[in-house]
Amino acid sequence: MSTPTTDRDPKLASALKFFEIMAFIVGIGLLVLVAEIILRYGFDNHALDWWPQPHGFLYIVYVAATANLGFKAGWSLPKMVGIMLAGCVPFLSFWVERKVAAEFAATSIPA
Amino acid sequence: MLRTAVKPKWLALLLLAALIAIAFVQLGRWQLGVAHDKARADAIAKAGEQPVAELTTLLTPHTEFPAAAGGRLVTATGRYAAGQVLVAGRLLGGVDGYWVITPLRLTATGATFPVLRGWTPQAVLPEPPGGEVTVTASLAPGESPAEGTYPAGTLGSVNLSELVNTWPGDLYNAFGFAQRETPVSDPQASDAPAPLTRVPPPRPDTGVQWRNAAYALQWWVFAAFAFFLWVKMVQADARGPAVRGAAGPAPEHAAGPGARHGEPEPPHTQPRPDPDPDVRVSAGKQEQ
Repeated sequence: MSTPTTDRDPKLASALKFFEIMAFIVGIGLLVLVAEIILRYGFDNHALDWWPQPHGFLYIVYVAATANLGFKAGWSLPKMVGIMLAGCVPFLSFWVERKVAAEFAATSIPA
Repeated sequence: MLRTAVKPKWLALLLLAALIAIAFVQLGRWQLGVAHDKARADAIAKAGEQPVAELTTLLTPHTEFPAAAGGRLVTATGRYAAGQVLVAGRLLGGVDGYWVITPLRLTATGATFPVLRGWTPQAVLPEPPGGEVTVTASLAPGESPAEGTYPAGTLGSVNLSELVNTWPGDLYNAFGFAQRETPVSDPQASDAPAPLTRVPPPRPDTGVQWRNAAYALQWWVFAAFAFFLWVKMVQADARGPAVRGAAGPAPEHAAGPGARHGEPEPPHTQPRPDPDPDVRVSAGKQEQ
C-alpha cells in the first residue's frame, strides 16, 4: 500500500476476489432455489421454503460485488447489467465468474 | 456532471431506470400486501387450531389479561345477572348503534364475566335468557376509558374498571364477544339473540409475515439500485472525457474509475484507446 501502483492493484484484486466468492455463493444458492421450486411446485414439499428470502439478500450482495468490480474495472453498463442478470440463471454464474476471472488473468492483474 | 446527465443517452437511461424502479417498487408493495395477508391467514389458522377452552382455565378474576388469550374461543357457564349496560357509538355494517354487555355470573367461581351479547341500533336492553347458559365467546381485553359523558346505564367503551364498580363481586379482566349461547337445560335450543345481532370478534392486528416483508424490502433495494447505477455511470462518463483531455501521455490511466487498474498496461476492458465513452458501451456489448 506504499505506492499508488500497489495501492491500486490490490484494490481491484480484492474486488475481483469478492465478486468471485459472491458469484460462487449465488451460483450454489440458485441451485438450492431451483431445488426449492421443484420440491414446492412439483412435490408440494415445503422443506426449503425458507431459502428464497436469504437468497434474495445474497443476490443483493452479488449485485453490489459486481458493481464494485465493474466500476473499478471500467465495465460498460450493458456488460455490468448482463453479469448481474447472469446471477439469476442457474449455472450461468459459474461460467461468468470463470470468464471474468480469466479476463483479468489475461491482462496479468496480480491476484 | 449535470451537463453529462442531460445528454439524450443518459436521459433515456434515466427514464429506463425510473420505469424499472417504479416496477420494482410496485412489486415490493405487492409483496408487502402478501406479507400482511399471510400474517392474517397464519393468525386465523393458528387461532382455529387452538381448542375452545373453559374460561376459568385461562383467567382468574382481577388478574392481568394474558396477551396470548386475545381472540381465543372460550366457554363459560353461569347465569346472567342484572346490571347489563350499553356501550354507545358502535358500528356494525356501517350503522351506528350500541353493544349490549351483560354480566354472566359463573357457576364455578361466582365471579362475573362481561359478555357482549350483541349489537342493537336502538338504545334498548333486551332481557337476557334466564336459567343457566353456556356462552361460547371470543376473548378480548377491556378497552380504555372513553372521553365524554353518557347517560346512566350507557358507557363510552368497555371500560372494565367502571364495570367493576357497577357490578358486585369479582370481575374477570376480559370480556367476550358472544358467538353462541346455549341453555344448559336444553342444549339443542336455537341460538337466536333477537333483537340483538351478534358482533363478530375483531381481527387481531397481525402485523406482517417476515418472509414476504423481506421480499418487499429486496425489491425496493433493487429499485434504489437502478438509480444508483445510473448516477455512477453518469459520474464515470462526466469524469472520463474531461480528465482524458487533460491527461496527455497516458490518457487511459486517468479515465476515472474505469482505468484504475493495470498501471503498466492499458485497461483490458477498453480494447481501443477511444476517448469517447459512448463507444465504450458498444465495445462492452461486443465483449459479451
